[in-house]
Amino acid sequence: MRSGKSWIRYVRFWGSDPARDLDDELRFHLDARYDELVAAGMDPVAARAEAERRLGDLTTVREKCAEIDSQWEKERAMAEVFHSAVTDLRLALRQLRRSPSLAIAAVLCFALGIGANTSIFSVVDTVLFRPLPFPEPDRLVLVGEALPQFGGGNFGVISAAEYADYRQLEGRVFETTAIYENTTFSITGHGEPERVSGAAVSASLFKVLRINAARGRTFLPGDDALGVPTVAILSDAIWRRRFGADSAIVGKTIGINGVQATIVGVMPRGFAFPLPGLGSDVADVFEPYWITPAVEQSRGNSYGTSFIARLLPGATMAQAKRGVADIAGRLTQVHPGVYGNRTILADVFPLHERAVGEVRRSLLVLLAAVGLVLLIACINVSSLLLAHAAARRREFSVRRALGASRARLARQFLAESLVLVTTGGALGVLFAVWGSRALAERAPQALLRGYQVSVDGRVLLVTATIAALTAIVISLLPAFQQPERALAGALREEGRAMSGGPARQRGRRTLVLTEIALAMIMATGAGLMVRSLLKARNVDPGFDPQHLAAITLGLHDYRYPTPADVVRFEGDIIDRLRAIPAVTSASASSDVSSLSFSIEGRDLATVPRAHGTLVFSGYFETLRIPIRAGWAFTGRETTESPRVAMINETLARQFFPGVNPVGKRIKWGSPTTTDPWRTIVGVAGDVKGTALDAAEEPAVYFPALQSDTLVVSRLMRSASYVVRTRGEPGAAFGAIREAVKSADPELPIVGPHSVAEGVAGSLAGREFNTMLLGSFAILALVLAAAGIYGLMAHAVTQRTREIGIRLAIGATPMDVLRLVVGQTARIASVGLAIGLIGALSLTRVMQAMLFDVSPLDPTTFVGAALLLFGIAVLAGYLPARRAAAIDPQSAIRAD
Amino acid sequence: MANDTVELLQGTLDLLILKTLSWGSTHGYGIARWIQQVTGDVLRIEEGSLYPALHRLEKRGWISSDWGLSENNRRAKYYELTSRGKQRLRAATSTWSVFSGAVSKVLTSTDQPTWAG
Repeated sequence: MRSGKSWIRYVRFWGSDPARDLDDELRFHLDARYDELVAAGMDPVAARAEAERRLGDLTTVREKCAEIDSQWEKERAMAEVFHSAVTDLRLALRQLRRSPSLAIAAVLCFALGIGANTSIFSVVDTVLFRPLPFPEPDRLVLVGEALPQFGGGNFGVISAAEYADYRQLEGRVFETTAIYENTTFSITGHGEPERVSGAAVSASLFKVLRINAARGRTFLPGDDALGVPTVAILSDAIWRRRFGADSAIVGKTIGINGVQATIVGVMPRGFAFPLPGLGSDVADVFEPYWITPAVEQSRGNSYGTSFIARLLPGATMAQAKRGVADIAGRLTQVHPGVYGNRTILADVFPLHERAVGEVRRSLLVLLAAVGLVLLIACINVSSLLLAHAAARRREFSVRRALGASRARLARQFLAESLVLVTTGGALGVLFAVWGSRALAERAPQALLRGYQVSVDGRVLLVTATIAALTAIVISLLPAFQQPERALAGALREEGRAMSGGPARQRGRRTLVLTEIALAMIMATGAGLMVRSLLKARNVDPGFDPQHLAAITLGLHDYRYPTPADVVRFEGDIIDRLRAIPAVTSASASSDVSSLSFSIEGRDLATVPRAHGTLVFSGYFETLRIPIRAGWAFTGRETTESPRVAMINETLARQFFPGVNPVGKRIKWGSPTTTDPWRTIVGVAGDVKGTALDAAEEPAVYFPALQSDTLVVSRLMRSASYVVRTRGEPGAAFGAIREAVKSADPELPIVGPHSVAEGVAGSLAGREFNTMLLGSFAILALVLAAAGIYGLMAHAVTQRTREIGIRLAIGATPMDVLRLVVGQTARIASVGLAIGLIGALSLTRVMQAMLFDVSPLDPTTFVGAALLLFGIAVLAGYLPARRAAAIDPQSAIRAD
Repeated sequence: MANDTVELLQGTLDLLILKTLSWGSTHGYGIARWIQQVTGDVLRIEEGSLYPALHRLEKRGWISSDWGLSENNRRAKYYELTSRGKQRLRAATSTWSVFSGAVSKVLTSTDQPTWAG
């Protein structure tokens, strides 16, 4: 034991005690001076006083010296830390150079794990975590209504005329408010006529968002008043694309749906509104939203206007919710006779929540999956290092015996892991720069449209944090695997251990077990996605998409003012299309979107809704939609003949179970509306109208020629023309375009495109997610297999002598094979069991991402388990074969 | 006022210490004695201020210190000029010569300072 005194000397020897040293030094000075003065004959008392006087104020001297010394100490300590860090790193590098295969394996594991994580995180960060690109985005909210009698939840929209009512909340809970509606504009002037995505917005919208124009100005109050000259704002994208980034654009005019509008501003680059993720296209042209008498009249009939508001500073969501609920509750009283006896509920949603709603779940599942991959990668490296540590047991024992502290050894492990993780992380970031770009490019439009995904400082910071945590975790594991008591033993055995030590082997086995369990979860998740995709691919779209081309044409009410004009023109186009030699049949349809309807003689508790479509003659034949009951429209229906309708199978099943719906009558709206009753003449097969994996919806078809009350939307009537061709539809595109041009050269055309391609493309999002999740699962499987292989190969090496003895005393190579493979199978089984439990509880969160597959789908679970088990046994088989081939003589004699 | 004097003295004191130590290692008291002896007690330095200067010089690596025994067997801290200190002394000496030469030229052009020695 050290004595207290020697301890102090020890400290002073190395680090010194500056204060004491200084006192000693000054005392010597005083004594020396005193001696000299006394020797010169001075009185001792006077000599003492004189010595002190000459030395001066000691307090100041002490303070000054202490300051200098402490600073010096600090600098020396820093230098020492730096020096030891350099030493650690140098040792680590030397160590890793000595086992390059381990180093390369570990670096690759990290590069893959960190790279995949960084790529996915860059996307997740952009889409989910980053604040919306508007000042104080937390105060931006959307208001939407729900009509409980009509079923369904909150629409997320209001009826445009109601804006005036909700606007009363300005100054109470909202600072500013605005409405907007997505639409399509026909743009003329400055080149070919073109259909672009646009938005009609209140003049106040940009004030709500607090975004200024990059050039010119945004809308001013009054720009959306009736009767003032039309103004428009361009997005940066269209300004560059169509107008060649014309710096003198402000003040020029463009034709929007045939109306000349003055361009007053260009929005900044990166301004994307309506927000990507809200489900509609980012607008390229903004036009004021006019509350016309027609809009007033559509109050309560037409819902589809988004209401955005900025909360007053300090106003809470609860206050806003109360405010809008109050207004909504009084709408029926304030506007008697408009809403009938309807209940109107309104709610407020944070804009951010709404904007990420659609993709949130799939992104978080991907993030979790990629996190698991990194975890497996870490476990693999950890397991490798553990094995490596076992081999270095002697080195560590010697160093411990020579006085290296456990902390010192842990620090060296940390240095080694840091080198591995940093190298792997750097490689991973390179991989991620490429990966995030690839992700952004390949991601289907709906996911990333309008977002700028890149690996930036924020993402790198997160990566660095992950890497640092990884390094700490994997370095602590082996360091604490060095049991104190093994010290002497290891020295004595000269490293000739019979096995890696039971504790350490158990440690590794636990790691590999965990790995298998995690891989099992990944494989199950990916399996469910793959099964969903396969099921979705095999879904019958309800029509024959082969050899089918489609174009969309929008007719403006300024060119085709009456419904008769519209229908005549549309009929003309169809005739021209049919005249093309390569075309066997052609027809058209126009969506009326979702509307409420009534059934004659039924008093339903909730008003049912159905998707309405106006169809021209030959529609069902052209698309080859089967007729399940009754007949298809004859094509001779007119406004003079009796009103007829067709319904789809889903509607028939839901509302006419066990009854033949043919001959029954339905109408739009409630039973009391002026809309005439229409007789159901036939039932058509269900059609996947939007996507293969979309849910079935009740649908009603009407003859277009019979719809004098036809819905010409506020700005344009849009119809889709379908053309069945003899050969590949692409061959007829030119002729189709020509046919339209010959009818109206100024009409912008969307398409033609191949319907079959569109159908396949409707699964793009699902394919993307499945592809990613599948790749991660494969990565996880490979890593887990490598882990098992590493463990078993190491175990076989460690047990060479034991196996040699077994073989020598009569075991057959087959027995040895069975022994090793059996052990692998046991480990794999336990891992699989744990993974199964994990998967059972975790796949539930994927429910919404699956299609026609239960999250507990037994086929997937059994398949994943068998696959993993097979891989595990195979990974164990290779070392087992090596074990069986051991030559007993040399094994026993070895070292 | 006092500050100016100290600032001025500081560099000078450093130079005096370095020069003193160039004769060989000695302790703080030895340095004080030597300077007083050579200057004939004309240049009276406050002995206390010697120690912060010594610590500072040591920190800069111009001198090094070690504990030893004095002539009359007392434990004393001995300072020694390092090779970097020797370089520093050479550089500082020439700077000082230029400086003092220039200053004295200015001063001698008017009248003789009474304290010059």
